[in-house]
Amino acid sequence: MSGVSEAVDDAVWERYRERVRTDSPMGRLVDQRRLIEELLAQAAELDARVTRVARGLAADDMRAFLDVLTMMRSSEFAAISGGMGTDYQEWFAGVARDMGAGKITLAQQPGIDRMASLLGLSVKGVAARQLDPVCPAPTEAVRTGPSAELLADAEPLFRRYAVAQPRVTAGIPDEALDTELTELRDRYLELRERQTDGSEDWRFVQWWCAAMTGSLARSAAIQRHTGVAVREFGQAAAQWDRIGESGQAADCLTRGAEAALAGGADVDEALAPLLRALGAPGTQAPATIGGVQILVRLAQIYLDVGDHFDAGARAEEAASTLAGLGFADPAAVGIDAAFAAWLEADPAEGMGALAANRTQARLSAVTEIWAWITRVRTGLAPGGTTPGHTANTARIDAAGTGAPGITPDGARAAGTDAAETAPGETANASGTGLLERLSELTGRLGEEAHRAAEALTGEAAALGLTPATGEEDRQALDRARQDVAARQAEMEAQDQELNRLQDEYAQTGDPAQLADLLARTVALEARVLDGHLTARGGTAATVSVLRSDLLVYLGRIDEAAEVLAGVKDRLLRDQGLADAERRSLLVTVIGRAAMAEGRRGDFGRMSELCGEGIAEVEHDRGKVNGPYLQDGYLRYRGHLYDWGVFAAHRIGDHESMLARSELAKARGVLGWAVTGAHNPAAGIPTAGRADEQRFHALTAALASGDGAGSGDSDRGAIVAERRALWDRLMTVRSRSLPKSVTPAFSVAALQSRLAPDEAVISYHWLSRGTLLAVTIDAGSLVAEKINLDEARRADLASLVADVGGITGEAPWLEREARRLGRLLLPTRGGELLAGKERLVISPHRLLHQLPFHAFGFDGAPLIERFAVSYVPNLTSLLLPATGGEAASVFALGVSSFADPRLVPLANAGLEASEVAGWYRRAGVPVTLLTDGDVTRARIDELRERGELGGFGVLHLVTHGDDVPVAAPFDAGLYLPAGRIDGLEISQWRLRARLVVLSACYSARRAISGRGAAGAPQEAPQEEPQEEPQEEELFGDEVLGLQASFFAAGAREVLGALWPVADGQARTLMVGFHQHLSAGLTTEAALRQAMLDARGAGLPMYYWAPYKIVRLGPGGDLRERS
Amino acid sequence: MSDQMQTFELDFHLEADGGSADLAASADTVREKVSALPGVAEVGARVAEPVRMIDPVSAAAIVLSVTAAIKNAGDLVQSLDDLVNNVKQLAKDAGLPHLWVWLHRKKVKVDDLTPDDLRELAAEATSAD
Repeated sequence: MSGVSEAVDDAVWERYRERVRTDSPMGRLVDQRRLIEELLAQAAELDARVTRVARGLAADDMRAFLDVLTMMRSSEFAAISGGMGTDYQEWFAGVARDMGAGKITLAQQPGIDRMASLLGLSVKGVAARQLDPVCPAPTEAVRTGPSAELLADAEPLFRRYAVAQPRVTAGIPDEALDTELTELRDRYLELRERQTDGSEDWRFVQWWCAAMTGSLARSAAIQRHTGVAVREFGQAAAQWDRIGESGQAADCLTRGAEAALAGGADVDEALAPLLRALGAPGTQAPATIGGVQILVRLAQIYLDVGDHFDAGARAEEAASTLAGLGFADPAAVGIDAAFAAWLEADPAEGMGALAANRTQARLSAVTEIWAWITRVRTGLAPGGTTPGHTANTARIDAAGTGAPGITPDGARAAGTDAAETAPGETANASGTGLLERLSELTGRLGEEAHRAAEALTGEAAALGLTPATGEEDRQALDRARQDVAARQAEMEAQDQELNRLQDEYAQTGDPAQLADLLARTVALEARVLDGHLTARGGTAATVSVLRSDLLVYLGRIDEAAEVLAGVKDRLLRDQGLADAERRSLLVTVIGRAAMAEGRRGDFGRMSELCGEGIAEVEHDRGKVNGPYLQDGYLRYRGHLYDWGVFAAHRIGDHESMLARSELAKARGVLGWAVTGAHNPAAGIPTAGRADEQRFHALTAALASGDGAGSGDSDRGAIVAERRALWDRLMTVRSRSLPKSVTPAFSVAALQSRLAPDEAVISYHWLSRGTLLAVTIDAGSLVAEKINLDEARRADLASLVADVGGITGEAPWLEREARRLGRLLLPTRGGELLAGKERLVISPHRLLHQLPFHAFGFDGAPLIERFAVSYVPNLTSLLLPATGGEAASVFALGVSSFADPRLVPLANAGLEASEVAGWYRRAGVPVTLLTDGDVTRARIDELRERGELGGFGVLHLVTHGDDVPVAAPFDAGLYLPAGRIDGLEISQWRLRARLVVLSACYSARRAISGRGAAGAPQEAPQEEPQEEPQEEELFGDEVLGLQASFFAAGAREVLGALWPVADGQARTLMVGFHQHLSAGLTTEAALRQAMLDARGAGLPMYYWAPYKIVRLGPGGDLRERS
Repeated sequence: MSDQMQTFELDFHLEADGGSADLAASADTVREKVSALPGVAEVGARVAEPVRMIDPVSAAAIVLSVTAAIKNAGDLVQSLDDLVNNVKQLAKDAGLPHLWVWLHRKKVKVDDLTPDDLRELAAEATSAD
């Protein structure tokens, strides 16, 4: 692949240079000087010609002469000045008026002389205005810039700043620098006070105030003064905003968020300013470069914290907005074509103030944004690390999750890892290739801009426009630059050596080469530790971890453990590290140390270390509350929990084993259960009411089509704002949860909640091929590992995918269900199941997609023996029991649809009516809506009046959506016209004991979340891209339609794993309610309905998709039956 | 080779041309005629119901399950081939020209069945899961 410099032809670069030249302030100055000289020359000639002609005129002809002259000269002047003839024309007109009014009397000869003189002066006057910035009323096209007086006042400040700024850029922690910057900022603020608000001079000083505040913030961030940094970045953003510099403001906001996160701040609070900037109602902020910058930095932050849903959505939102502004996606059209197109793009409105006339700044910003987007996309690709993850932790994390490592079983996993990530390597390579080319373009842009600036400086100097700089200043600046360059060169050299070592380590298995690598790593470690550079604690830790990895690989485990103990100690003492970075590094180091202990066979110590690491992770966990964020939080940390479960299992510490497993499974849903409508003290805090109202207003606008009225971009803006509001609402709600309310898990607490006829099976994947199955009843616990070789694991994944792909009868289900029973049901734990009637299953990751109740067990489907229900985790069984009998029932059935893609459901309305009939006969009040009654207005009315919260049971029959991988909460249910999505449902206030979703896919939850939504799949001029693959959720969170109902307050959701057949669904569902209203528990009623279907000879496809997922304990079977 | 009677089961997916066919009648016809084929022990035919999802792809279809018996296990591949061809012809006669057979967890168009597919089908039909 040729580089940018070869690929982009000279004409494009020439055009670029010309744009930079004409757009730069220096270029304008040179052009103005040329214009002035031209005008002056013409004025002299004009004087002479007018004098000659006018001398031949009679006094009466003078007026006509002036009129003609006015028209001609104004036209000529306009041509010369590029449309700036207004002043000249007005002056002529004024003279003509004065003459007409008799204010100017002209004797023939002296009048003509005076006229000639005036004509000349007027031209010179315009010229003088160009020279003298104090002249009032400049035209918009050419600003005068600051006054000479102000420039004189500001110059000494600027010179001091020019010396200080490189030290900020270089990242040198220096309190003296803070003092200097603070004083400079104060001086600028004083200067600003003397200017008229909004004047050109005020704008000039305000620009410097903002720049100075931003520098101060950066300096504070470098010194880990988080509070100061966040405050100053916020102020800088506000100052930039006042002069319309949205790009700079966005940069400050994101830097502030990053500083806060690095300092260990609450993630929700850190991101709040960015989300506010994006989601301010009605602002449609993303449609500017500044907004896009926020989006893309936000995407990177989400990616760094592991939230792939939000990362993907934000990155693609940024990509489409940028493309809409005229800056084509280089992944789609190729970097060279994109650059040529960017050069032509001039979306003034979308650009805001960032690049009104600064081509260089604009193109650099655009290139940088595409680089960020590419980083996020690459990070989302399978096997992707996070190229944009700038902290040292990124490297350490990447090293931590990549080859070579060891599995919990202690086996070398390098080969397996390589095999797993192979499909993604192409996509990564493509993304990396694009990144390299974008980086090359950025460098080239800088070079070209530098060249254009040099050319202009030369021209300006020739015209006498070069600003003078004192020798002393120049020397000080040079010294600062040299210091910075030396420091940067050493840092870069160290980083490059580290990268080389890591690359070579990843590629070799040869012991001799590894020994050589180890020697070089030890040398680098000494260089980093002994160097005089500050703030290198993270890099030092990364190098030491690499050293420990090499030692482990070479079998020198004891030495590795010693190295890691040393790193841990160093990290705890390093004052230069921010809390969050320290904890992140500690987690990695502790994880490595745990693995080293595992290799030594000391599983007790391994378990202990995992416990320490998990405690570090849990320390910050409450700071992450967005639904997707909560899952992503374990992206770089989940392995520690898996290892902790493994180690605890190895030493028979069942309490720790299950407690750690519980921490890694669906923690978010517990918060929803506690803050849902069941708890009147919780729910949406008052602060969120306005957001909630706005959310519902936007939902209504989208439903009514208002959002589509003004085009896709308006609708897109509403969708984006609604999503941002939803995220905020869910976050606020989770944050309102007192942490002590969540039930604390213990084996004893769980067993105390189990009835004698009840058992639970909890699964946890310890590694890709090792599944832990724990069977528990009221008095016993059996933990056993189920080992799957690679072929079986791959077959299981394929089977799960096939179950996910069922769209009609699938005759293979019976056979596979029998096989799955043998494969996945516990054998030793099976002994505990004797005599039990109820079985609660807590699956893990991809197992959520499978109908355990249909698995073969003792020659028949499990459902023949047990009433089966499912829970997201065992802790949910400890939630307080709620509900009771169905106080009232809401039944809804939709049979016909306006959307032609939705086939009529002849049985839907009948099903709802029959279900309603059973309850009515039992004396339970029922609200029944079918077909024409089912309108959005009616549902909104029920919601607004709080009536939805009065139903104990909801039964909804309609078409359903599969769970979208990139946005699970977008799954929804269909009305006769339109649909209700999960975002909306999650904002309902339910108190329902049971929600029955008699619709396709309604029990399906997201089991994966990888892949950038909408990322272009074609990349002309690039390597072909693989479709982004999916990856299992990190925190096993409940995401999807089912989750929406839990978030709304439901405690049990009965739905279907695959598409349900209309007629058979009616029979089974009506049967279910019949059994339920007869007094059976939900799981027993479902079991009975399934047995009825089996008795009628129906294949598994018809009865097996249904599953009940619940939060909280079930009812007592014997009591109720 | 065993002379013991061996049974195997095949599952077919049949679709009509267009949506106007009386699928219930077609299903009855196919069931009746396939039942009369040599070796066929049992036949089940159901009209696939519409499902509650957007863009259903399995509408207007019949699901046919055939259990047949053979005496000689060595003849299984040939017997499968014969059965598939017979069902294909009967289905076509009944106005159901589009025919798939389930092979493992995939639907394969009978026109695209290869000898390897038939062997795989035979292996699956005789495996004990």
